[in-house]
Amino acid sequence: MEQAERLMDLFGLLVRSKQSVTFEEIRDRVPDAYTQEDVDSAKRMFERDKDALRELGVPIETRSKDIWTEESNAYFVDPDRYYLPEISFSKEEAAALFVAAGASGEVDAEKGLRKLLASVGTEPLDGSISTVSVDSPELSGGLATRLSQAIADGRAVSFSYRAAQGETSQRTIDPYAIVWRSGHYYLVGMDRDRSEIRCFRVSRFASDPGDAGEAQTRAPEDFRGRDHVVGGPWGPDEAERVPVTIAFSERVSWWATQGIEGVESREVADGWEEKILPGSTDDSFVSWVLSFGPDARVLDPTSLRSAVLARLEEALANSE
Amino acid sequence: MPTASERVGRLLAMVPYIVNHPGVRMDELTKVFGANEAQLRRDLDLLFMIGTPPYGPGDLVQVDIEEDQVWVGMADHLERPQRLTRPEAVSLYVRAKTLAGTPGLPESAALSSALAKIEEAFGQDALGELKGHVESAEQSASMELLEVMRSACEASERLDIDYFSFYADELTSRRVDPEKVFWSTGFWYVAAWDESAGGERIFRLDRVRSVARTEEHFEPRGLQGAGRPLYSPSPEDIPVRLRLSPGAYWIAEYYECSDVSEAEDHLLVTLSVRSLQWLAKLALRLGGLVEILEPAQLRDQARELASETLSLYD
Repeated sequence: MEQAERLMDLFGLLVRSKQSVTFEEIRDRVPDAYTQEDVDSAKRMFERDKDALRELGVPIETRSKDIWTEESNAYFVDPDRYYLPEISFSKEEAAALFVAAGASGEVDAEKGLRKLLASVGTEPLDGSISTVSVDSPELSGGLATRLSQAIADGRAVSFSYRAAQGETSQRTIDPYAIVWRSGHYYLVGMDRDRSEIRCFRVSRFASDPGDAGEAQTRAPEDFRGRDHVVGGPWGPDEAERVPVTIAFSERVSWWATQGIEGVESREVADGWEEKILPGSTDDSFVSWVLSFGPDARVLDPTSLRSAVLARLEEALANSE
Repeated sequence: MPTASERVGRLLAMVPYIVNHPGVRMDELTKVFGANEAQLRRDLDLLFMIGTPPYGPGDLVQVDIEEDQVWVGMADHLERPQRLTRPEAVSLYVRAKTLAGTPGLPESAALSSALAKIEEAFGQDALGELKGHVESAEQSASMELLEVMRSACEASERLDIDYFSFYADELTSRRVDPEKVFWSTGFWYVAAWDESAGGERIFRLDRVRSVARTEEHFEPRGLQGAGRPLYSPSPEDIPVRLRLSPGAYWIAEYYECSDVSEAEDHLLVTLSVRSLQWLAKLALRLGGLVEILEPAQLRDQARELASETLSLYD
């Protein structure tokens, strides 16, 4: 009898038994499976099969068969712990999950998805499984998943981290959240040595994260990791938004504000366009405005205009 | 050869799927379960062998394969799917949250509702303390071009595009064979074969001004797409030496730099670039944080750019 067959039969017996069953009973009730004359070798084969089922996520518990013995000599599968609870997905939801699982192909995500797909209506999934992907070495390398797993399990992690300024140091963190932003993952959590909430860009990890025992602290109620992710120099930030007015030349006005919501435009002279958009006066926004060079001019507010002018003066002085 | 565990794992997922989709086609099963037809048939053959003792007529699973359709009946304890293991749930959750938070994707709404159902139905059990702690801070925005590009990639359709090249700082017309759409560093890109350049190029979708369909089709070349470096160096690149203040150290990380030397309050780096114009702009953006040491020509260019931009405010 081949192993796959034995596994299926053993699983069937355990999940359908109302009571726990001992190895002797299993030997008896799964014919042709553990028939070796030598009980020890039969038992070893059974142990291997049991471990294989556990690996597959079948929750096999051990119990003592009766009150007369303390030995855990019987096996039991609680159907409620094995079967997926009722859940149903629309065809659109299933297709979207399909794209997500395949977006940076990983075996675990795909296996998980297959279990969920049984719960999708009776219509077949159509063939147009589409073609987008997310480019993230942290995701494809499994780092983002491993850190998420640590959060799920309530485990602390330790790793070597290279700061933006270049120096490398060892950190031990109670992980609170994973934040996805501008194509990068960030780990936000309690830095044990500094007793402060810190944010780490996962691509700057200089070592694989190791397990550092149970986390000593947990994320506070309503914790928002994204509030701790420091803004990058690219594009408008999530800082408090104020309406700003900027004129763009014809060369850039058609793409300059793509991807920004709530922009009002009006054409002015010589093909220039004035746009009112949500902006701020922080560094990253000033930097974004200047990325258009002489193709963008700030009209309003004065504070942004002065910030832009100040930086231009600096740039000029620095290249004299 | 798949191992016994792989076969059993697949069967435990496949039987509920077939039971809920009676008469499902073999090719759909191969796609969903990532195995070829011969493997799937071997897996299904296992079902003929099993039953739960004692074997009565009612205990044997019924499998029918006709033409290329499949039915499974009397499967009893195999009819409902298994819970997700924690690694499966975590891996799927992280990917779905990431993609749902990636702007412009029409699947976002469906993904978010699917995620809400997952959290509700078995989040506590499968996700532990992770529930709600994978966040996205990407901007949200819709983008029509994304859909156009995705369908051109799927149909292998050649396109004519007008593209604003950041490095060349000008609008150019190109004929391209688009193959892969991907999200990287906060933007959508398409990897395409550029006919005029005679090579693979990537284009940022928000800088594509217009797209015209050619009705011509091409044979995909298997371009790499996601994961390829966004900039490909060339022998004609010009070396540029920069002095960075701490606020601009990210440049050393964001761009490929060589000859990095560190001092107390600054960093010296060399960048190799195809065109100087965008670097002059980079210097403009960073004001006093970056100083161009070489070449002198770039220093001049940066100065001119700064005074030209300043003159807008006269």
